[in-house]
Amino acid sequence: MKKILEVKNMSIDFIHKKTKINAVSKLSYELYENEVLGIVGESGCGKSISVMSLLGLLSSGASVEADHIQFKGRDINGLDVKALSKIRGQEIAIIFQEPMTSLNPLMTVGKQILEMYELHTDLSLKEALNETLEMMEKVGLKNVSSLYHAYPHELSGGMIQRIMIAMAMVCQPSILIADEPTTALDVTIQAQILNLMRALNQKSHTAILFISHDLGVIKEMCDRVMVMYLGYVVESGDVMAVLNAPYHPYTKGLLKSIPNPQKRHERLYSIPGRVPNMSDRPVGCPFCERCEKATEKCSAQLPELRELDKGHHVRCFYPEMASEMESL
Amino acid sequence: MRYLIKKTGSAIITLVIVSFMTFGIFELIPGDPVTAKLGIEADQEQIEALIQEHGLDKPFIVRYKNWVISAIKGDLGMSLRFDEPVTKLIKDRVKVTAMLTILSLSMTIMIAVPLSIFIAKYNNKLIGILTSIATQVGMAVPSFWVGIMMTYFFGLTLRLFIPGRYVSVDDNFTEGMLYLFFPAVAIAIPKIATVIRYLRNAIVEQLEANYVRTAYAKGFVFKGVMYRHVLRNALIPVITIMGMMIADVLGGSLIIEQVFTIPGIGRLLVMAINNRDYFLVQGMVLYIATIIIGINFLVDLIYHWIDPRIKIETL
Repeated sequence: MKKILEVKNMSIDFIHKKTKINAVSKLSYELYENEVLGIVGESGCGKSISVMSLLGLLSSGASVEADHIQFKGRDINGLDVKALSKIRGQEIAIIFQEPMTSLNPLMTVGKQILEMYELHTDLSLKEALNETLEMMEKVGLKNVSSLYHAYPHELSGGMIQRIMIAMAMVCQPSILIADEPTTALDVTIQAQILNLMRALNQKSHTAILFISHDLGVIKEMCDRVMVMYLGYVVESGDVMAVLNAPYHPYTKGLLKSIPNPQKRHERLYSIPGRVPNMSDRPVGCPFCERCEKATEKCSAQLPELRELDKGHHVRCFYPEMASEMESL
Repeated sequence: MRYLIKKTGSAIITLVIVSFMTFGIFELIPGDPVTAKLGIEADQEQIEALIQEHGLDKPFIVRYKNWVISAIKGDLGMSLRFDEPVTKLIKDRVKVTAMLTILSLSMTIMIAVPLSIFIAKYNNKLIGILTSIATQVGMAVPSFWVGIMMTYFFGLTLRLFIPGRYVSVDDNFTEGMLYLFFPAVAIAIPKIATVIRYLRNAIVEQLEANYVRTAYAKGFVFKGVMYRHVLRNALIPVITIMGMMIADVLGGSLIIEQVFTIPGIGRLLVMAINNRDYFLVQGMVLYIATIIIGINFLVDLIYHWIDPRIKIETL
């Protein structure tokens, strides 16, 4: 498989009240053609920003540093806005979390898809209009010619997410970033949207960077997964390997927090404590304060991300010990 | 369509109420048109004749009815002072005032909109404070002072126009426009400041919205994001203010027209009141009320056109 994206040692800092806060540390990952890579973690772990940074879509207070961000053999690290805007939408498209607010409320949804053709193709208005309607049908929308003239507030979240996907797929991008695309939707709609994205991924060979905090969804959608905690990757590998035989206590904790109908009389597990603020991140292992197995070494020294099985990386001093923890 | 009918209906009802009040108030305030015209020493015969002429002996409701009917026909009676039809007097002055309105309003839009965008684009603390001070000053400076300063500087010192000698655009277009240019600036300055104050905040607020992120993600650069998406959203709160401004200037800028001796609506109103010219004042109050109702009507339509979320029920 061809590698289309390689991020090497990317760090993201925010300036807040004149102090620099490190939000993502030395993040490295690859994305292969046609693959779905999941990024999972609790809120505030740096999932979104570590992909938004690819396109320079972070707020102005953020600074991104990296050895390189190789996209299709070209380093896109530190490109200016103009060069990035050629990649945005055309090569790398995004679907956002909040469907209801992600579209301009004063413009018809059709027009908002049409804009993509105006921006990135030389089609005449009539051709673009036809393409737009066709695209709307492709993402499973009905009555497209009347839907074209609808405003976002007249549609449901699921329909808007379909519009967003249609918009994203206009240029057949190499990468589709899906930032919690189904979090705000009903479960049934969620499944439809996930199926649609899967189908598009297989049909048009678009690689997907799929961000979610829902391990069930990740399991459904992704080929590989990266578990993030406080700006660090703590575990990564094939979805089945990571979710069936996790090494890191954090991954284990996340898995244990999923409600299980068979254990419905037991108290639902939750990882003790909460995600600390980025500004007071522990010196050692980012998870040490909440880890039941943590030792002095954990709070003093940051463990390296190391490969335990083939392609399965873990950032923990005692993965063996952790894997001995009672499994699900 | 239903919306349009509903809005037109409410505009007409408002107008009827306003006309009734306009007419009624002149019944209540002391003094009457006859004494105003003839003075207190007029003889009985003259008074009788004038009362007959204006139909003042009829009951209030009848007179109101007659007034409304002739008003609809475009007749608001004769001015007591000028011995000319009120409608003609207003019509002559409206042209000048309308010109002043168009000039000052286009200045406001042409300066305030790009400037607001610029300020919002480079939004930081320093620029924010400077803008706030500048707009505060712009709003606080009385327009008559600006007018006097301009008369002094551009009129008396630079001799770009001759203060006090109004040139009609009908007689000499360039000179007429030049004469109106400076009062228009004087009117525009506080309006520019007000618009910037509101528009800048609206733009800054809109730039934070999620759809802006989407627009950038689509591949737009700042310009596209601003003109295609943000501006329209940001204009919504500003439209009301703009509407009020238009109504304000069209209703006559009393002070500016006085300072620059422009024969507009504002000066006419001042004269009418000074002369106790009942029918003229009555007609002008009706005119101003109509303008305001009309502009509000337009603002509502524009709102509806810009923002599809506004539902009939909410208005």
